[in-house]
Amino acid sequence: MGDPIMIDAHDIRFSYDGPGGRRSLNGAQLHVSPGEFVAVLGHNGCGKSTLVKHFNALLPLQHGTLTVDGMDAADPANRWALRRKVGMVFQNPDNQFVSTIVGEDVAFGLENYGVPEDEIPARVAAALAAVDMAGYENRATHTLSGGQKQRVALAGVLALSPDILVFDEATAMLDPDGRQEVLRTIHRLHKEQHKTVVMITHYIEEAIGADRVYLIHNGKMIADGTAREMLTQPELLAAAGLTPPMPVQMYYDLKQAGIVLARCPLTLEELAEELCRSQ
Amino acid sequence: MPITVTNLTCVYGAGTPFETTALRDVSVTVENGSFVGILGRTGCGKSTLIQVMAGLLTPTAGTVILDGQDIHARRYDRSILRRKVGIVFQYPECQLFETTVEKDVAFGLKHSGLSAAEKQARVRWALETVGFSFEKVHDQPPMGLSGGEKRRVAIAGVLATKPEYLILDEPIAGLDPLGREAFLQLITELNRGGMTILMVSHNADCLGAYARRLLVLEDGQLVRDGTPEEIYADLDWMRAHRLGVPQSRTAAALLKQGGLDIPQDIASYDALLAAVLRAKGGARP
Repeated sequence: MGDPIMIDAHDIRFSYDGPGGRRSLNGAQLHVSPGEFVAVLGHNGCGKSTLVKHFNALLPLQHGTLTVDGMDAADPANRWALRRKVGMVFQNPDNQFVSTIVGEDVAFGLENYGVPEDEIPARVAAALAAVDMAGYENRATHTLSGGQKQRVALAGVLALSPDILVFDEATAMLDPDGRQEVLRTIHRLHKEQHKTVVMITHYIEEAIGADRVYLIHNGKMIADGTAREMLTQPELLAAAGLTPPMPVQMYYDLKQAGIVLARCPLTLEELAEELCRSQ
Repeated sequence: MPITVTNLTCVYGAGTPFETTALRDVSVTVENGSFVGILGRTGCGKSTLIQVMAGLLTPTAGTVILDGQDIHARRYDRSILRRKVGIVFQYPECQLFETTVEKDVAFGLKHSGLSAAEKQARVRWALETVGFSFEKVHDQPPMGLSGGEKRRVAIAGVLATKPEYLILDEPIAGLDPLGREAFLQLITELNRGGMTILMVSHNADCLGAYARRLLVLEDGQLVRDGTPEEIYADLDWMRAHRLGVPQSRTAAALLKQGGLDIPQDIASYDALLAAVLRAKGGARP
């Protein structure tokens, strides 16, 4: 065996109309190492959500192989263990709440798994603290901002101590402030609690901090590599129906105008550095 | 004729413990043919403002005058308002309900008095305007389309009524970058054709690149009214009010800090690129 693998997805095909129907996934693959931060980038309708819904057996495997921390996802006996291993946060915070009170909402999963009642308050408090929402146990969920709601949804997932966190466009409905809050929290959990993170997004800037980026198009991976390798190639991104980050776009536009920067910048800071250095 | 909003105040749940003032004394005139963006944080009153302007909510105080008539007056003929003002809600794809695309787009024309042939011509025009081939999609079930396609069908349904004013609430949230660009191009085309656009968004990058005037709401009050260039120029203010600074504007500030001669009233990528080319032009060998 080579490197340890947390998620190993191979040749996954899937159709919502059943086998033989129009395929949402067409031989997708994904390999994630323990503790890795992976971003999956693709346009609307490329199959990225369909893929990750296999990781905790929300969707049954129709074709291909998938193991998550050594567990075969095709085996129905593993279903509950998978759901405990993989925590998922979705796009719309309001659709994820089961209770109108923050503390009860976070405790919901724990109660379902039969965690002893006297342990629950401490685990709820710890989960809320991990997302910077300590002390919000008694607040009504509808009084929270979008970013706070998503962090509470994340706390509900964290309370079950999953090793893998999957974010399915978890920032798409938030305002810029809320997006930053949630992104900061995700990165902190990755660093401090060593969670394995799979983040699905079409906001290309959100992929910059990832260890590895997969580009998916028409239900299939078209490339993977470091964020720098993937995000600085406009043709490759265009093939995935995506546009490059702004600094990359500027690099190529300047090049066309005869101004060649020493290296292609990925962030605004790098862009400023390159432009100001070559004065 | 413009839409004139005067001293608009909107209170939800008045007299209850949940009383919230969503709008406080907002006055603004939206000129015909303009492209106005409304920017503000979640809960600032953006959606309330456009719903009052579209006549869907009755204000607690103040007036909305459309073509010289108060749209909230008791004797006002609301059918005029419904014909003139089209509104596209957030996640418009959730508004689709008919069995075919054609029926869905035609729904708003039911009581328009148009003949069947005229209605079909309208539907064809609306679908083609949003980039569909009428023949390809008209008999398809709308629920089978992709998210971006559904959104365009929903907008076609609003366009079919040929509104003079188009109000859009966060129309680009959740769209991928190419979908977003295509959508904003479409809105720009409609605006060039004379349609007045009023668009709510969190996305300061997109509003800066497309809107010609911005209204900034905070806590139910209109706190800024000007061109994107004027408003974005005050970076400290944008940051202090947590509005989300466009990338091009952040880059302009970083470049100036680094010693480049870049103006600070940058509101779009194109403006930034032009400024960088000017600044670097002299330094080129």
